[in-house]
Amino acid sequence: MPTSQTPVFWTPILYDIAHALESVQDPEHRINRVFSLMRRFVPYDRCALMESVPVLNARIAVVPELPIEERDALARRLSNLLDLISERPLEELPQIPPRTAGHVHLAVPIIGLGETTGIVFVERAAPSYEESHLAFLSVVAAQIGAYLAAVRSDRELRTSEVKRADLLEKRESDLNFLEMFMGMLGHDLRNPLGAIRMSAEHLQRTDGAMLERTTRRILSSTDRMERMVEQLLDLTRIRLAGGMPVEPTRVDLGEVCGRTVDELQAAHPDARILHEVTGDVTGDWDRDLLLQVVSNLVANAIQHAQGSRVILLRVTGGDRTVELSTHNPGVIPSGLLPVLFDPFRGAHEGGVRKGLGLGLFITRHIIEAHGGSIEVESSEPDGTAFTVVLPRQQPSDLREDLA
Amino acid sequence: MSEGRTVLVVDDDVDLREILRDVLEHAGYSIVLAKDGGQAFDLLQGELRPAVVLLDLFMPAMTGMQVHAAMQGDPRLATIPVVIITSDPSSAPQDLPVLKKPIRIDDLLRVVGAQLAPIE
Repeated sequence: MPTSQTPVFWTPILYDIAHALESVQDPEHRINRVFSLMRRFVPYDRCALMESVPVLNARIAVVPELPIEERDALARRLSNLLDLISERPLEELPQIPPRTAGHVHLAVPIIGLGETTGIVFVERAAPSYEESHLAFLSVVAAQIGAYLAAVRSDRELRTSEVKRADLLEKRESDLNFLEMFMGMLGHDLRNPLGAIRMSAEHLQRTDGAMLERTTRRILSSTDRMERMVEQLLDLTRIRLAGGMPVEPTRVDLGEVCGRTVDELQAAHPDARILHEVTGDVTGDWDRDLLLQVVSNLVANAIQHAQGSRVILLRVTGGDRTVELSTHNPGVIPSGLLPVLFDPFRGAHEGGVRKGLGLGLFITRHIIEAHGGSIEVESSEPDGTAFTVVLPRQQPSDLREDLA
Repeated sequence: MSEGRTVLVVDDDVDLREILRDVLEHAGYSIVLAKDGGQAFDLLQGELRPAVVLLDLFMPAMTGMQVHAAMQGDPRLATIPVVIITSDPSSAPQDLPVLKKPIRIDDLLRVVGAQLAPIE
């Protein structure tokens, strides 16, 4: 005949506990329900669960609610216990640490997926617990352990699914970016290539009279294709290296600007480029990359200058930084300003583009790779101004100086 | 203004525009260049009545499609033959002759020649 002390008597309680753990409530409610069902076989004044691998919201779940100091004290005790049993095989369990005076307790580890993930604890004033209480508590701890492990792996699965979805989304946008780029490159290479081909065919059919003019055109088309290929390589560097690689040497930005102005002035005799240098404008920068920045900004200013076609290029040495600014008459449409430094911003210009639309994107990356910044302002009476601020020393050099 | 052998070349690519001019001039045509749709439209609003318009599709200011639509809406311009020059013939209007970029000189001369009204 089953008595209250035999495992047969546990069956309905364990059934109810299993049922409680499968309910639709949140984990905290389920654990509290298990605590109250346990009481039908294991009497206690306090019952607690503490996790080393947190699944529940609170570090420790306790029944009944305790004042905060008592609750913290219990948490410390269980934490010590948990350390003890987590670090040793079960058979080497040492003497249990301090108890509440006049009380007896039982503590059973919670095992989930092969590791100790927490501890279940009951405590009461005398009389002592019996072996059957410990056996029952062990079965319940196993149930709780399995349940918490399931919750944990479900959460981990969901997190990894979210991560995978994010990764997929990023891959997809990278792929779109590349496809768009390849499409534009293919399209834009056709014009200079077409001009070169037709020029060569024309040369073949005419006498030497057109030689000078036609070869000039072949060269200028070749230059444009070369620039596109350079931009393609820059873009690849930026995307693969996570930024433009910089090789700093001592550079005089005034000299870089002077050289660029001479070149562009010769190519655009109808524009007037004014060039002004104030103070010490030297710094540790990548000269080739800065040539690219200045050339891009000044060429842009010439291309978009309206009216007087006067371009102003100003270089000013500050304390720790050097400022470079370009100004041209003419306004950038306000809708274009927020996307001006985006790659392929041509897509925002109603499908009409000049070149690959990568110049300012690459310019910004070069400046940022130097620890600098670039800003643009454009309005009807004032025209358009780009302002670049470059620190004289690279962030990595500064760190070396401090070390 | 009699412009029986005048071709208006509209393309925003400077090199392509100029080689088209050289080739067509060499073949005996007079050439007027426009660097975008807006400039072409301004010329057509004025005195210019070319025998043929060579029209790129994707250009700033006014696209080739917009120029063509505006010409169709103006009885003085609607009869001027238009040849589309594009690297993407699928985006050209069905009823217009198309020269696909890169353009071969023989194709250019054949298609432009075919548009010219017989000289009386």
